[in-house]
Amino acid sequence: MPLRHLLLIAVGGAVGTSVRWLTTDLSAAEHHVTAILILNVIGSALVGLMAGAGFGPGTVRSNLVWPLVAIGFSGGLTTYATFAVQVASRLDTDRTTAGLSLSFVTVVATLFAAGTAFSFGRSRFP
Amino acid sequence: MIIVFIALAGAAGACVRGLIGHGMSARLPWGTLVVNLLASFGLGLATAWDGPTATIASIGALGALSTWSSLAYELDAMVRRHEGQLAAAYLLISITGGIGMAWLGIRLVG
Repeated sequence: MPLRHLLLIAVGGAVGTSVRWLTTDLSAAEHHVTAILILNVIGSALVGLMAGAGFGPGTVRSNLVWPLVAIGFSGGLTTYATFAVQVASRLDTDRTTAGLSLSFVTVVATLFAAGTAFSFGRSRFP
Repeated sequence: MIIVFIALAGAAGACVRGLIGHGMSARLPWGTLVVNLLASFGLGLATAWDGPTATIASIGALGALSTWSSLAYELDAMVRRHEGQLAAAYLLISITGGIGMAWLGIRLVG
């Protein structure tokens, strides 16, 4: 991997992670699950939009923007690990319905966001 | 001040994720799968700790090491390539594996 790509990933990752930290830090503890869900949906939509607009991996346009925005920023903004711990802790404390519901809603919402944004990007920026 | 360290940890986590996923051209995105499982296990372990260092490690490094956006994009791309069975398998492994690893981490320190 070229060093400039690694630097762009680092910058994007630092900004995305900071936005995620500020969002959860400013929201009440009982809203952390919703905050993470919203961030995961936004990040998934952003990556879908970029890919649909022709900035996906392997394209000429992707050279600098994909490492910075998709791998770095969106990767730092979204988090799988927090989602996994939120679900596992619910399953571990016999809140099975809450855990399964969170899994279902997150999967459906993020995939819908990525797919819809991809289609929008492809139609608007052919 | 803690946000500076969270940003640095996030940069490090994102770089490790980028390096692990770089150059992998297999049909299944092993890089994303590996970092998500590892980070989930690590964050499960980190639930036992408290304080600024734990926050920096969990929200910064482990949070940025894992990613939902790449997972969603990769699943969407598989469906668009008419690889529905591969997408279903990837989703199933990611969800059950990640939650299972997080649960294991929580149980080990709980």
